[in-house]
Amino acid sequence: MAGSGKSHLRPRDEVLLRVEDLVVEFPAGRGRTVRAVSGVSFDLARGETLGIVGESGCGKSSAARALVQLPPPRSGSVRLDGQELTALRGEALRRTRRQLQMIFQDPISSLNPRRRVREIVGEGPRVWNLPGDRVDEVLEAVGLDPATAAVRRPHEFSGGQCQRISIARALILDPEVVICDEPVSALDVSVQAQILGLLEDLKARYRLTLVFIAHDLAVVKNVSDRIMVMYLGKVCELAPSADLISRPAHPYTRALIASIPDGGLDLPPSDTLISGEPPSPVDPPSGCRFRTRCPRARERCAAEEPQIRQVGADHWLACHYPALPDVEPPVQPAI
Amino acid sequence: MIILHRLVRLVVVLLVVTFLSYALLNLLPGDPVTQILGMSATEESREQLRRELGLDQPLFVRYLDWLGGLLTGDFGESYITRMSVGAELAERLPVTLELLIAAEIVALGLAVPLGVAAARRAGRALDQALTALSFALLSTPVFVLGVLLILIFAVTWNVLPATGWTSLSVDLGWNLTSVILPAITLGCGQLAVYARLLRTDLIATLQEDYIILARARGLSPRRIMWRHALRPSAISLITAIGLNMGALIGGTVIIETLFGLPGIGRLIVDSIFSRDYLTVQGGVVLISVGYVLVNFAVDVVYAAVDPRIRRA
Repeated sequence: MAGSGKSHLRPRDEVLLRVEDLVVEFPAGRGRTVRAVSGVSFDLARGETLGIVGESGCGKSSAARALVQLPPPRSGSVRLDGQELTALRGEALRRTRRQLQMIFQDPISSLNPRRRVREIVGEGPRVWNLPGDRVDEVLEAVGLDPATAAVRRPHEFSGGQCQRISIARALILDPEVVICDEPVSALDVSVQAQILGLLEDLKARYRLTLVFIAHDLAVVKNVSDRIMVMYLGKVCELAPSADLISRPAHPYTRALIASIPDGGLDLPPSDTLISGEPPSPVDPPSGCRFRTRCPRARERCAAEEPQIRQVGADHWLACHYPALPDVEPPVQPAI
Repeated sequence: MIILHRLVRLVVVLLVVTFLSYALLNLLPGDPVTQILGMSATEESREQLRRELGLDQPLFVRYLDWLGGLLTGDFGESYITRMSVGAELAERLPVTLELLIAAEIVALGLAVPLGVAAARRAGRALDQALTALSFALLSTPVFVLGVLLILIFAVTWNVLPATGWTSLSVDLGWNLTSVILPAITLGCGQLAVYARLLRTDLIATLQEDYIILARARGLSPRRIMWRHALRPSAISLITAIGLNMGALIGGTVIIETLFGLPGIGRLIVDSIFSRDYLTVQGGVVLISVGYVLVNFAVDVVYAAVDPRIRRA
């Protein structure tokens, strides 16, 4: 895994959002840096939902926040509708912000506890001078009763309801892309299903383009058109949702699928069992970053970083020794 | 219900504070009789004056007697001047109140913008400069700062009076010039504390999800800071305002003496030296009532700042 490369990107005029070679770094003390995202590329067509999965610390949230330039990435390119966001500063950047909206994991801390729901949802359109008062309409769309909900404050709502308010606040700005960063991870399972259902409804109703981040493949697979699997700041595998679930090629993807209870994929444990914690992103392994936990790792994995290559219709993979029988290892470059 | 609760607390505080101060003063050597008659008076005349003043009664009886008068709004009479303590306090209270309010205005008026500026650029040069300044202010005793300010503004530049007081009712302009230096001197110590507290809380608030999401919605940094971040970050600051009120009132004693202001603080100091027990008691009552009221106001402000506290 730990793949680099951009061969999986589609032509520029077909996509709404195009991210190339995204690198996000944070200071780790004593002059060292953590490279949370190291050279990730992906794109998003209008109306499409991209799921991003990976375990905690794989860089999926850092990548999402770098999309909205909060904080801006260390390097790389983020193009929304052809406009380079990383080049924008100050007022110009602020003016584009409306087009990218986010929903966070913790529904409570996402809302200013001192505001009433009407102020929370209505502030965005007021700041941007958007015509008309759509607060009631949007609250209804997310399944809240405007008459009773609008005058209350966040602490009077449950987690699921707070998440609905967050969604309403994002939707009312008519964003081009909505980035959902673990939007259901903090919720009860029954509420998770409701929020996922709501997001699917809204996706159809408002033709939303979504980036959907989760550590749980089971949550992502039904919502997403395509799924990208990340590990330690790199891309492992990218494929249409159904294809990824039925034909996982990367050992890490297979491990993730095997971890879904009743995942429907019957894989031998020897092939899918991974143990231990991911290595420190301050000092990542050479070559393929997954090799230290991979049941299929060989010498080549330590020496050479796998590049992203096509292994099926719109199915992309960064692995030297994939788990699919019909996929050969890539040709080793002459040294 | 809350009001009632507070009233009970106020009464308890008053009882404890006034009894302790009464007892403490009486433990000091010397008494008002010596102050009035001088060292050379005969023992008979002393004894007679003691009886007239009621000082021959046991301590506890005198305390209860004074307390009974207080219930009817009577603060008693000064042993020394024979004037009504209530009238004396009423005359001096406005001076101290104005000094306190002016000091808080100076402290908050500077602490909020400075705290915001420091939090916005935490760790940068401005923040570090303000941190250094805060510690410098905190470690400078008020009397040193006061003398320094007098030296600069009154002696060297001669733009403000060094001492003295013009009442608000006499002349507004002169009143303000006489309150500026004392207020700055008294407010500076608070300023440093307030600015530090606000800076720290703001830095924490600015990392909240809803602040990041507000930026994602494209709200201007100014709007986020003043409309979204400031109020939630003000809780420690408001608490400190209430708690520091005691220190501030204690500070007025020094400030009023230093700048020659006819306020409660100086009255209490003078009365302690002349063993004028009842005047001291009156001042103590006023200060403890003020302290409890301020902290009650702080609790009310909490609820306004953070609606979640209303349920508690």
